[in-house]
Amino acid sequence: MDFAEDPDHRLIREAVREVCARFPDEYWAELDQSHTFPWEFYAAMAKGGWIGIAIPAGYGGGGRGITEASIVLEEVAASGACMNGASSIHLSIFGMHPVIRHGSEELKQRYLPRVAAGDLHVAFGVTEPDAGLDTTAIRTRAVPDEAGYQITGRKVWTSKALESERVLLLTRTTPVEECAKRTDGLTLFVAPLNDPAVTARPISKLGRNAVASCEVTYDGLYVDASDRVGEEGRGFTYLLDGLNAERVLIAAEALGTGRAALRRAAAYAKNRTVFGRPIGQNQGIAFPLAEAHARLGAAELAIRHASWRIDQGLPAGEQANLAKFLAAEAGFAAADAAVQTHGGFGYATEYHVERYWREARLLKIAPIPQEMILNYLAEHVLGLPRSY
Amino acid sequence: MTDGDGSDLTGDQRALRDTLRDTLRGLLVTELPTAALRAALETDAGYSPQLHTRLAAELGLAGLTIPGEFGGLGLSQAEACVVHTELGRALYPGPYLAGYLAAGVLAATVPATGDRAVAERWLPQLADGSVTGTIAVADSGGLWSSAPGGVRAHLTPHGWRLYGRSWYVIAAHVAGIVVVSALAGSVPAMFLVESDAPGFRVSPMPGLDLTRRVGVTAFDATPAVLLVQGADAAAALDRAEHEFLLATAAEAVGGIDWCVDAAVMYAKDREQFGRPIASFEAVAHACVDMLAAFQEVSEVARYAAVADVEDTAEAPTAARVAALRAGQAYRGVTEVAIHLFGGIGSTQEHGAHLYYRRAWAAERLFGGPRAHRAALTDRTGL
Repeated sequence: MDFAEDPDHRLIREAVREVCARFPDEYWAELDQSHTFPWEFYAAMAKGGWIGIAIPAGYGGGGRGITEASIVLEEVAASGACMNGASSIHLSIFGMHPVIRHGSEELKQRYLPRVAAGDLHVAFGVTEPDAGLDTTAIRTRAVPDEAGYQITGRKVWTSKALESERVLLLTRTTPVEECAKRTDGLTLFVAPLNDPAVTARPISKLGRNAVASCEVTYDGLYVDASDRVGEEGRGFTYLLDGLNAERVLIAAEALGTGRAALRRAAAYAKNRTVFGRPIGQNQGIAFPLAEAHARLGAAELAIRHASWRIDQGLPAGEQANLAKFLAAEAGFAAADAAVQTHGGFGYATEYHVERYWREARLLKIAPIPQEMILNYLAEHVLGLPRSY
Repeated sequence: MTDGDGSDLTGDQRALRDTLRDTLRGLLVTELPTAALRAALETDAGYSPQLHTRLAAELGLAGLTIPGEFGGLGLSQAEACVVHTELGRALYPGPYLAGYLAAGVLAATVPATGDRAVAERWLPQLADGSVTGTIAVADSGGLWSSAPGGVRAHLTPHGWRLYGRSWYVIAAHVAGIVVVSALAGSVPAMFLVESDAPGFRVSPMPGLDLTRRVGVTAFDATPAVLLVQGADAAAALDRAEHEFLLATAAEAVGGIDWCVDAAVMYAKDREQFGRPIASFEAVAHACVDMLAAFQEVSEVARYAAVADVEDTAEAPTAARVAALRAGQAYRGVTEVAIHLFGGIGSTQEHGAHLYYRRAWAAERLFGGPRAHRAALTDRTGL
């Protein structure tokens, strides 16, 4: 076993840190308050070539793996950009995975170079108000004609729907009653968003307010058949392919958010003096921070293990789920300890930890709640009967 | 009643309660220090019969809730709560809880059936401590039940005969009389069996709790006296379970209190790095959390006892909640206490493990958290 850090990875870390250093906490706090997308940050990351890191080199990307992508996202989050920063680029870095794996050559040539360059923003439209995590229960219909498909339905929690030109959209092309399996009959498209048939409405929410998540209505949106990803009816399988990688990236974002919180909390605990000594000298302050560090360390190892397996082409369901679970818990616990360490100031926006806290909370819910991770581990790792 | 302290209790009742607590605690601290407790556990009975008799004679403890007309003190669950707390605090290993539950069922037969004979014969003997009673109501899973699989009763020309087994019978090895839940045909019923009756046999169920022994009682054509049947039997069983919940919550309060006292005393005494370990926040805060658990559990336990005295609609829910929260808190507190005692806490010689064992076993006795949650789920209409 070799735990030595790959020199390349170190370079990636340092380079991303350098870009992020130009966008301090104040930048993110302001965008969060004004609900403004971080265009300048996005442009800087695109210019650095980071957005296309996981897109194959033949399509203008960096051709690197999930390990490198996770390092980029961890560093973005750890800079204090947290989920506002990570979510602004997450889907560009990884969202096109089904297209890379299953799209036609023509489709890849059309979209991937623009995504890699940062010129084309993409969103992800899967879940629906009445479907939740029961993905096969979606009701958005795509009805085929000679040249394309007419799409009608409603999606929820589509992040960046307002900023994106295209959405990777999951639809039902064959009614569930006519399918042998519920997972059949779903089809994935790279659908246009800037079309009069599409209406996006941001959802008012607790945090990560620089990146809006929307409820999106598709009212007879026409999509050309050439924008279909792979075969009709196989969309669910294409999505499953990318789930482990997505979990690892989310875990890395949680880890980074926790690191940012812990860095601020430790600095504050060292400098803040009460009763004539730094508050960090009290075990009641020091221990929760030390514990947060220990838990983040464990989560980091789980992330590295999972991303390594994915990049090696090994099965990684257990490791990816485990990494997401541990990192979401550790990231939130670190943010919570950071708020507590700051006392009253932890509640003030000026110290930024409340923003970290609001964003770290998200990762215990999205893109998949901790409980569903436990369901996965119980069923697929421990062999217990499925509960849902 | 929001203070949980029984504002509806009279001043006399409160004074009586306080006297009872102080006297009982004084007596147990003197008579049952850890060394004496450990010695008693080594005996066949597992407790000191002399001390048990003294508690019955001097304080009337065995007849605490038995009506005055049958030789008891006729006190309420508010006073019983105090007694259970003190006995739990001392980890009293004698068969008090078992007798209290048996007496409760026997006393309830009088208003249910109008028949005083059984109560007149046995209650005075339970009250003066000359006979020890217990209650055999659990199936092999520890759940209170009159369902098939437990004990069956048949009426013969010579009277009722019992067949089958009951599990988790507290103090079965020393009981003179056993109140048994059984099915007569398909009808639930409660019977009384004398331990010298033919076909009655007790075998021990060795368990984690060294201070409360339980056993399996087996009945093979064992003669029995019918106490109540049908709806009256179901009601008596419910009532006995309710009294058990109140008792187990109150015992936990006492056990937690002991843990807090012992841990705090140790933390003040024990020095490391030139100062008492209590001066380290990690230790001090753990002690404070234990104290908070004590306050919480003593409030819910007293609240449930007073709700019973006042017979409010929420009394059954309050007793369930008290047992659930007390069980969880007691086990948690004993774990923390053992941690705080460091190496010494993991020795046989130290008393902490006896509390951990009691807490662990008490939390799970008669169905435990699962039964509590199921009952509360039903009560709240979920």
